[in-house]
Amino acid sequence: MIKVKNLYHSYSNDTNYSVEDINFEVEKGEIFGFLGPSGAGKSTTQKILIGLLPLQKGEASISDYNIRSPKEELFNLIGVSFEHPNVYRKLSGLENLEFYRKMFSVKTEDPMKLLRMVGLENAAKKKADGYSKGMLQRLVFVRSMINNPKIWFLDEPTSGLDPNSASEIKKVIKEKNKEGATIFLTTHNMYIADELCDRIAFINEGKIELIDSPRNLKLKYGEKLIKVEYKENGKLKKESFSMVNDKDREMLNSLISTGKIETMHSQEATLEEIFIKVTGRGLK
Amino acid sequence: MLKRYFGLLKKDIMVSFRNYFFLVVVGVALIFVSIINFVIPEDAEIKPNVYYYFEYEGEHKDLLRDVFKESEAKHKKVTSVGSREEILENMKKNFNSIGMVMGERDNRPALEFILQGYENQEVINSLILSMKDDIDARVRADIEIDTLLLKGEVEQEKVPFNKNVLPIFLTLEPIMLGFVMIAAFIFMEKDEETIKAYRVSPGRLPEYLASKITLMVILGLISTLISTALVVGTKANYLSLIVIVTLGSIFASNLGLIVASFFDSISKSIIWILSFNIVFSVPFASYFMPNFAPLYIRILPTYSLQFALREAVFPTGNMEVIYSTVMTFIVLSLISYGLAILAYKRNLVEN
Repeated sequence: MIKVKNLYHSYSNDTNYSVEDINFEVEKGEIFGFLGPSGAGKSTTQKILIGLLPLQKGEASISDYNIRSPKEELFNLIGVSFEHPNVYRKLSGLENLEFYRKMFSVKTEDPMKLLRMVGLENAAKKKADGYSKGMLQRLVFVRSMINNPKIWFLDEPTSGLDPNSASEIKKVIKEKNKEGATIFLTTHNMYIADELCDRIAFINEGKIELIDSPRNLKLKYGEKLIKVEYKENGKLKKESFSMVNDKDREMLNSLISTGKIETMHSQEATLEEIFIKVTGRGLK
Repeated sequence: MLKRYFGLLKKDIMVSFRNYFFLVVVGVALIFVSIINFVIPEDAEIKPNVYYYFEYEGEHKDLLRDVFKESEAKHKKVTSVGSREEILENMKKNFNSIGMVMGERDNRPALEFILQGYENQEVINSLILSMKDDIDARVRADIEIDTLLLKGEVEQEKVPFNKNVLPIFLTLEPIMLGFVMIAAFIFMEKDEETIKAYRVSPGRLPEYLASKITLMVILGLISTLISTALVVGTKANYLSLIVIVTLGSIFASNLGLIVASFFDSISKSIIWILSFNIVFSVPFASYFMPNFAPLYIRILPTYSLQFALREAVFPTGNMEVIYSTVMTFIVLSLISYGLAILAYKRNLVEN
């Protein structure tokens, strides 16, 4: 559905590239995550794909539409949820959606149904001026669903949301994906990437460092640990033992044989730990 | 495409209404109408009071007295007094006054002007010429002079000074203000970043810009119709007026769009917006002094526009000025619309 080959972009039109030699493909029905810290090149790549930035060098296509000269039909296929809540503040939530649906020449969703989906039905007729940040974020999110997009670009979709709203949004994303939507997710939130994505690309300083599924990344780069709570001399102790270190394995075996263990959990490396291991920097 | 255009237009009207654009336009029009009707005088010519004393007793006495009596009847500010001293006395009391004594010198009628001393030479000359003309006309009354009037069927009323200001307002408010308003509107959308959301929809730039231009035309026409109806009533040629204001608004809106495309905020662009407004206001000088029309003024679009508006507001039958202005503005609007699209493609999208 999305093909990107040798993509470069420079804001200063020279060799100072913001994204450099980016290559990836997103399969139909896949949730593909672009994980990286601020300024890594996530948004630049997405902006090129959705036509907000020109394609300077390289090739990119969405559903076989060359994005160098994007056709009107392409924009009927895609939906974009922006991180910045860019809605008309003087219009109500409902008016914003009513306006936006008129821009499409494909079947659109009922605006009230969408607002209900994210708990904005009671604020439907209230001017967006009076919305909280979370409400605006939800409005932008459902606006991107108005044309039932086949390819859905989500930029930090849970940013600024409370845990309940974030959970609702994740649920909607999973449902849409089940219905067949291909999703391109840019985020610096390792948890949402881990939870939602089929594959993840680590992007750092404009370059893709690696692409794989969260599970494979953890297996490949993460150190398997066992976290144990045990009693010794009447005191509760906590310790982590590596599953690949012989000495740790021996100690764990001895704890198991003495029956001192109270709780025991396996622990995988987080995507952030793997990101740090691969790129040498964190996701913040 | 039409569905998108009307969708955009409805949204733009709602947004501008809630941002009080309509209220501002109607309010400004009403203020201007009040100024025209109640503040600016109908006659702005500052004519001095004239005190005259008629002491001539020669053979042309009756004829010359008639000239003065006629002037007195025609002009409220011409007053007969009983002596030269009385003239001087009145002139001391009223500094904006002059005196005339109709006397005799070498058996010939002699007209003496008594001036304050600080009068404009042009005023003095025109006064002397005017008196000479009046007297000559009387003396040569037996000579038959035929005057052939072209377009004799047109009964031209003298346009009062205050109402004559209306075409300037119609150039300024619906057209030039449209230039500022559309820029303000674009900056508001840039600030909200709503144009980004529009860019990732199937909507295209020509529709987006056309909707904004249409809004400005609507605002311009509201302002025009209110002010024209309240100042001149039904006397105006409304069809011509609507066509001229529509084209003028389209052109000014395109200019506003082009300027706005280069900047992020109104504060950064204000110097350009003001500069454009000042340059396009220069032809107003020619409106009040038609003899002052150097090439650099005549090439400005507002030059012909203001005269076409005057013809539409105070019709004299000179449709040529309207036709030529309409044709010019059709061409200018098409060119500026094309340039606005290019400017947006380049400045708003690519950068």
